[in-house]
Amino acid sequence: MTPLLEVQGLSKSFGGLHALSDVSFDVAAGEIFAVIGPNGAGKTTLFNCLAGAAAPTSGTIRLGGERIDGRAPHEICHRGLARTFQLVKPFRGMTVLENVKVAAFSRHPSAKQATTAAQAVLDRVGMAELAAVDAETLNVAQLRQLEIARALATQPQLLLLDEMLAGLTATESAAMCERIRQLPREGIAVIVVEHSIPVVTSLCSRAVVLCFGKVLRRGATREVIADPRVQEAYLGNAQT
Amino acid sequence: MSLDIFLQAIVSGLANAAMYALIAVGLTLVFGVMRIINFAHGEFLMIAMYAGYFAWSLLGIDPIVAIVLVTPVLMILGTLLYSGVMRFALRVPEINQMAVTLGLSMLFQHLALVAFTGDNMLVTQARAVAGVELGPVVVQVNQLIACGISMALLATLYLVLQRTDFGLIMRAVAQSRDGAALSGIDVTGVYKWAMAVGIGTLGVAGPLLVSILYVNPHVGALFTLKAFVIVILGGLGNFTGALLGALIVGLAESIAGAWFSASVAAAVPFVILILILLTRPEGLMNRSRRA
Amino acid sequence: MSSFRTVTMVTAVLLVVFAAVSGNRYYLDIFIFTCFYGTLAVCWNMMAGLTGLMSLGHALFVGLGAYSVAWGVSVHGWSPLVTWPMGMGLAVAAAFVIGMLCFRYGLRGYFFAIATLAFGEVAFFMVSATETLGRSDGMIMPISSTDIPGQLQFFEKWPYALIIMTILIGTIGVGEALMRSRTGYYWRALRDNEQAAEALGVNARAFKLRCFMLSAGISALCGAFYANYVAFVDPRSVLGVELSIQMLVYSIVGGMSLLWGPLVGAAVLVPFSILLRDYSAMPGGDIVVYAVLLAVLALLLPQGIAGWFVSKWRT
Repeated sequence: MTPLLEVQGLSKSFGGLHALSDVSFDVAAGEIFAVIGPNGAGKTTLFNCLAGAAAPTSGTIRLGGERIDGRAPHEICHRGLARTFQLVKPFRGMTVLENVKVAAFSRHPSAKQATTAAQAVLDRVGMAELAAVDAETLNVAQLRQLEIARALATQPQLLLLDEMLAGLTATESAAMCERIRQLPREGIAVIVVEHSIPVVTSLCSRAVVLCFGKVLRRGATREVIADPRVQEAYLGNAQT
Repeated sequence: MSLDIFLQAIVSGLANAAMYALIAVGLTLVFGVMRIINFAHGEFLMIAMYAGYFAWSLLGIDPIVAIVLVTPVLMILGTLLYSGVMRFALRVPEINQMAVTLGLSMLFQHLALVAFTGDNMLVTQARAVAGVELGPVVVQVNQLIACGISMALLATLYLVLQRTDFGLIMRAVAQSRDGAALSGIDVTGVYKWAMAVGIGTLGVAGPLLVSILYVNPHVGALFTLKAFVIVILGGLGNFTGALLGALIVGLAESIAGAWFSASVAAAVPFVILILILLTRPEGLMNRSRRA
Repeated sequence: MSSFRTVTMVTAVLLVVFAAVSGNRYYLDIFIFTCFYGTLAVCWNMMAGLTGLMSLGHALFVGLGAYSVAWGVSVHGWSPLVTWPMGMGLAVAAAFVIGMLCFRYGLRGYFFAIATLAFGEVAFFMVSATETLGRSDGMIMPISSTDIPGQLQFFEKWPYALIIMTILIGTIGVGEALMRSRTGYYWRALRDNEQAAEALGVNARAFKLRCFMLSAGISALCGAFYANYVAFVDPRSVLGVELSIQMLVYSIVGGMSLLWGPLVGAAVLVPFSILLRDYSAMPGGDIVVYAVLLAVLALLLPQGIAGWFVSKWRT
């Protein structure tokens, strides 16, 4: 079976800076996959390339066997890849429901159907009672939930989550992890960028470690974490 | 077109460019530091031109001497503009900032109309008609003087920005407001100084210009637009870029003026601006920010 | 408020005012100009306030409409049935080209504003230099002593009032319907966060273009009306940057977050400045007053009169 996402020889440079060089990995349908690495390793650049916000300098990205590298973000979204942003900003002057509606419109052009679909997504993530609330008044945990709800409303096959646990309390993190664990059962594969090693080991079956834009190690999460080179890269980062 | 006319166009283009540069650096300096485009920039030039004119017509002061009087006044106006308006404008969205400075521009234009009527005024001294012949080309004495003073001031400004602590602090704030504030720089003070210097340069340009060009209440708007073109050409906030932009606009306008009608020549800077925005929106001298 | 209710309310208010002023030519003239500037401000704000695209070159589109009519009728004797669609078509095409160029290179904020300003200024100077368009003197359209409905020539002012009211109500109606559809949601999403909107499947360039073209088309419609009403066009009145700035002024004063906000701004400022102009001894006094009003409101009441009113109403 072909993997859901296939990244081969992906490179991205800004001027003389190689943010990513020759990155390859693949993600299977229904899997939770981790991208880890110290700050500045190129994780966000990788997400930007996958989601179309930046065009790769070279290499290929295939989603469900079809090439998506260099395509516009909205096309990639329509093909079933959704992402969240590290810095969550809701659309101003819109309620929670309306925020999700913007995303639902990508599958349902009519306003009525989009409203129904958005409501269904809010039910699914447990935000139904916040539907009519002005999105700007939400707290951090609720904003993260909204970010997931928006991404889910585009009906993705693959969801990229960028540091969804940063700044959350222990309880909120646990709830969010539970939410993420649900996704494969709903037919959605997930790639997470995450710093917390315990979270990564508990959530993800496989992982890729980036360091200075290169793949340091790739494979089953436990083995990857145990690798001394990975340990060193992380500890090196922790000390600075 | 004969070679003589072409050479004449180049020479007057260069002379204009020196004045344009002086006007544009103030705008780019304020934008670089505060990230606000001041649509009323030209109106301050207009005020400086009237000041130069009245110093001459009422008090008999030579425009070159008047610079010494007008510049401090404009610097004070700059700081007043900061404390009275810009300070508050920093807190509102971009479009409101635009509206505020546009409002000021309209206000000054029409106050000038009320105070000075719409009549054209010009300083007419004996040397206004004098010219220096350089082979086939004639240069007005006043243009030469304006050009010289303008270049001297630009060089001074450049050295101040590059070599002094004051310049270093300005550039630091231009790069990162928060970073500069964290390093203990008094950002408010820097803003005030940027406005004082940015508007103050017009105090030099105004009296020089009024002995070459008529002043009327609407003269500022024209220069605001030209200054926009120049600073975007060179890259917003970029000092040397503004000099290059002024050179391009001055020459293009004057060469086009030799070829075509005045209206077509007036459109030339805007055509250049469109071409630049579409090919290199970050400007000629700024590093590309796009990935 | 449902879109139907907004349209009904605007229509009702317009009809009441129209009935009140229809007996007096002077007041009717003020009413017509208020509707004219109101429509322009509303369609300008569709771009600026609702989609986040500040244009300072909208006079270009008004000018295309006005000059199409003036040139068509004085040179060829064409009917408005030809010249109005021609002007709108040209404006939509111009917006398409300018939009393609600007959005392709990702111009936004000040850069988009100044790029559109430059396009407007180029048009201004080019028309000022064109013989067939009357250069900077403008074009006086042929006027006969009798009414010619086919050329939209009436002695009375009320037919003009009805036409511009229809245009205004149509604009509000179309705008309200769009704001409740996918297009309106996408516009607001693009205004706030283009990157996030694109990641959620919004084709940013296509929807910005759609907004720009619609706004340009309505502007040209207004310009065409202006030419027929005033029977005289010149670069300063229909192509000048001052006209573009007026749209911004009414929008800021009225309130940019609401579709009908700019209409409130025009309804306050247009009659005010016409009356001040006609009755005050100070030349340019009207502009002094509203320049101050603009600067003060932009700083102290960023949501505008209508936005302030709505927020008070809700609490």
